[in-house]
Amino acid sequence: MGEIEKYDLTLEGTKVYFAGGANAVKVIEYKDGDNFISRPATLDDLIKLTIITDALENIHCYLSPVYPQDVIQKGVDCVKCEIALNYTEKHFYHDAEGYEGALNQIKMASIVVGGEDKLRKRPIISLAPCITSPLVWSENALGVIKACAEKNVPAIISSEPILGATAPVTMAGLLVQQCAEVLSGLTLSHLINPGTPTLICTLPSVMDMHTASITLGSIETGVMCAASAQLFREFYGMPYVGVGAVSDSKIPDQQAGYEKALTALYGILGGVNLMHLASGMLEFLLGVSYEQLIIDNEILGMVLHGIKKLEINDETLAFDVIQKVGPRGQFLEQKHTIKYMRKQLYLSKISDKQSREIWEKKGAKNILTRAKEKAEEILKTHKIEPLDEDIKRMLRNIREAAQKG
Amino acid sequence: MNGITVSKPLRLLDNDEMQRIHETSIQVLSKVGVVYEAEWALNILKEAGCEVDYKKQIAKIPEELVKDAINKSQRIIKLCGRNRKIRPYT
Repeated sequence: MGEIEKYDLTLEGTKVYFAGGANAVKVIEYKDGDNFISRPATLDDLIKLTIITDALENIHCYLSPVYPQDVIQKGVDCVKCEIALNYTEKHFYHDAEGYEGALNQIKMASIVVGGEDKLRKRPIISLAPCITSPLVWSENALGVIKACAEKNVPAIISSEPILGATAPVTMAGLLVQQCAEVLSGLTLSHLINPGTPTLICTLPSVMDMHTASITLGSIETGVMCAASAQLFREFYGMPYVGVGAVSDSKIPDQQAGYEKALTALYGILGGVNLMHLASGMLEFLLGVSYEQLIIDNEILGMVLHGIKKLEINDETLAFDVIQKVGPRGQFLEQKHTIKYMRKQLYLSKISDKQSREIWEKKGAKNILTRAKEKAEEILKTHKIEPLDEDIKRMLRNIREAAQKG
Repeated sequence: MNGITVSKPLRLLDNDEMQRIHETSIQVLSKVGVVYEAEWALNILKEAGCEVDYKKQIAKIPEELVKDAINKSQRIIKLCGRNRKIRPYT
């Protein structure tokens, strides 16, 4: 087997990746036309959304998209861990219920890779201890820091300040506070185990001063993530996990589209190394939509294509082909066009680019209908090779014990 | 999986502005302090040279300690996926 596996991510410099959405408590279901319903998210949704996330090419890292409402809430972190290990091969980045919860999940991941020493070499799981802004590390979050440091599992040290509520209303003040918050966690991590793998993550949101609701689809979120990425990359020399492709809209509508596109593009242009919560989420972070997940994959694909360095060389400058085609010619049938079109052009997956006539002939489907069909198709066709039965059983035992506790 | 590198990332902050953000956050850590709601954590911080108020659960962290942690942080972090075809027990 090769050292570089299919889903390995190397967070460094200005290399960027996307990670999925996390912990939605409700599903926004699209019926038809303008009809949506909002209902509690279930374990069945968690499995389905995990399978779809596994299939989507622009989401490089997995977070549990759903916090299932139909299972016992005790030990739910182990439930989510078990689902992740069973239904996706992507790196799994997760929250945990304190020290014990973190150790349980680390143990489950170890079983899948064949031991703790192997997990140290190939961490398939990372955990995210999060400070309570302003400036309070809960016992639970400290337990996660401790478990990660002891086991050399990457700790994604997180701060989620709210501009104007749990942090100053000035963006500079928020940057100061979140910096102090993540550094206070980082300091403890490296006192427990110097050199343990750590990442910095912030999720700056905004208190809407008209409604007092907490919002994420604001342009300020994009600005603060781009500024944070620069600060952690240039000043501290550390990879940075930020947030983007997020929205406060209640349904997958135009507001969701523009908020997601703007926050994703802004943060990524700033060099956010891993942009999380970047798929399917709506209504701040409360809801998830199957259709939005598919649409987000397209937004992320366009963003990734759009940041590629322009390739400037003799062949791409294309003097020869311009000369060959000459005035009044056309380029479509040129070898040069065929050679470069896939690399140079982003090929849309579900966006509509057809003529009106063809679009009407195919049923005049809106984006939500097309996305819904795509999600259904993935669920029918995407195959994930199951874990060995003995490994599955061991995971189940740990999860059941955690639920009884 | 190859990530895509942003060749010319946005720079929203000047060098001296980053310096000021950093210095102010160091002041927050050393003068205001941070609450750690676990005695074991406060013990570790006190041992390392922080000023600790056990009653309020606040540790004030000196700059050197933060610098140490920054220096010990890895610059490159690898997060791995897995390939189901590699079976650990066979």
